[in-house]
Order: sequence, then structure tokens, then C-alpha cells
Amino acid sequence: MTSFLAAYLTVWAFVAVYVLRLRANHQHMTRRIEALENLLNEQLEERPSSRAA
Amino acid sequence: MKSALVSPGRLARPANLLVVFLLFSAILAACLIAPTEVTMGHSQRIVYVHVAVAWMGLAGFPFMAIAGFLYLRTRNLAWDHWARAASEVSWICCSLTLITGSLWAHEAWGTWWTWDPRLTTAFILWIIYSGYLVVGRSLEDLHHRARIGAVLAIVGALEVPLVLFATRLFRGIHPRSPEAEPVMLVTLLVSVVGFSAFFISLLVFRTKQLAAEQRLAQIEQQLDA
Repeated sequence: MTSFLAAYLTVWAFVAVYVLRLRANHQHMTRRIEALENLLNEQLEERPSSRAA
Repeated sequence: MKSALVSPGRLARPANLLVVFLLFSAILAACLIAPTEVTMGHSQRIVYVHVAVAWMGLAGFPFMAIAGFLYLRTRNLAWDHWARAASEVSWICCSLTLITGSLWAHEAWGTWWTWDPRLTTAFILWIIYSGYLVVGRSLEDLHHRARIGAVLAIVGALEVPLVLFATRLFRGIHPRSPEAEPVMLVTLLVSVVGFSAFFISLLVFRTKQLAAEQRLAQIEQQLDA
């Protein structure tokens, strides 16, 4: 019984670590996308003012 | 931009529910439905997870070799994303095969490890997977990495038949395909299907993530230029 539990817990430990890593990657990418959106918005806002100048 | 890069898609929710159902069925079948084996007792249940992860660990390299070959033909990095995602998932499965196999060996043979042909060839396969991951992380140029990866994947795929037929080609102690009750065979099948569905869903998710990462890096480069 102990070996069986050890096997199953090991499988789920590996899977949990990998899924957490994927999740962290996903969050990091979402932050990069938000930063890009902000940058693009700033550039779009600056354009009409630079034309007017 | 956000929706185009990281959106899960319309079919994601029903697909995820199906995967959860299959995985839950597999765990339930292995823990509660399958009968307890007379000689080994509950330890025999390791086989349901061991075979399921072993199958995914073996399927990885042929899949990566096909993706690598298609990359070499088309020079489309989308194939490399499939191969890289498969290498990560398959490395986990191959590692788990060795660990669960070792736990099984301790119960069945009284040793954690022996240089049996099946165990040795599986260990060599794990080393090739690890090599693929190390090479992938050490190269900066995307196309150079994809080319080297494709070649390594083809080499790895050549090792898979050796692992598969090791019990027939060489004399060892690893069982070929032991006889089992029909309930046990059905449980094994349910387990293989459940775990395969779960790892395939991870593979699809990781592939999409790699593609989105590359697209994001391209947009950042264009904005910096």
C-alpha cells in the first residue's frame, strides 16, 4: 500500500510542479501583454500631439 | 492583442471537462474498482499509473521526430513548438516511469534498481530526453535550436523500439505482458486513456504558450526597433 501511495503522490507532485510552472509562465506573459498594451496606448496618444507640434 | 495571444478557445472548456472526467475515472478505477492482486497486494496497483506514464514517455520521441521532420521540411517554427512542448511532457512521463518502476521493482524483486535491459534502455531514453531539454535551453537562435532539436528527436525515436522490444530481444527480469483478469485489463485501459488525455491537454496548452511567447517576443522587438 505504501509503495502504491508513494507512486501516486510522486506522479501528482511532478504534475503539480509542472502545472504551477505553466501557470507562472502564463501570468508572466499576461503582464508582458499588459505592458505592451500600455506602451502602444501611450504611443497612440503621443502621435496626434506630435503632429500638432 | 490579449485575446489573440492567450485566449483558450471555444472548445477548451468542454475539452477540459472531458479530461477531468477521464482522469477521475482512471484514478477511481485504479484505486477502487480493480481487484487487489493476490501475490503483491495493493502494490500491484502501481502498474496502472506506471504503464500509463510509460506509454506517454515512449510516444514522445516519435511525435517529436515527426514534428522535427516537418520543421526541417517547412522551416515553420510551429512544428518546433509542438516538439519542445512534447519534450517537456514526455521527460516528466519518462522520469515518472523510472520512479514508479523503481517502486514496483522494490516490491516485486526486492531491489530499487537493476541493470535489466528494459530498465537500462528506458534510462538511456531519459538521458536523451534530458539532453534534448538541455540543448534546447542553451541555444539562443530559434532556427538553429529547432534544427538541432529535430536531429536529436530523430535519434531519440530510433531508441524507442529498443525500449519496446528489450524484453523480447534480451534476457531480463522485466515482465513482457503478464496475464491479468479482464477487470484489471479494463482498468489499465481506462488508466492509459485518462492519463494520456491529461498529458495531451498539457501538451496542447504548452504548445500554445510557446507560440504566444514567440509572437510576443517578435512584437516587442518590432516596438524596440
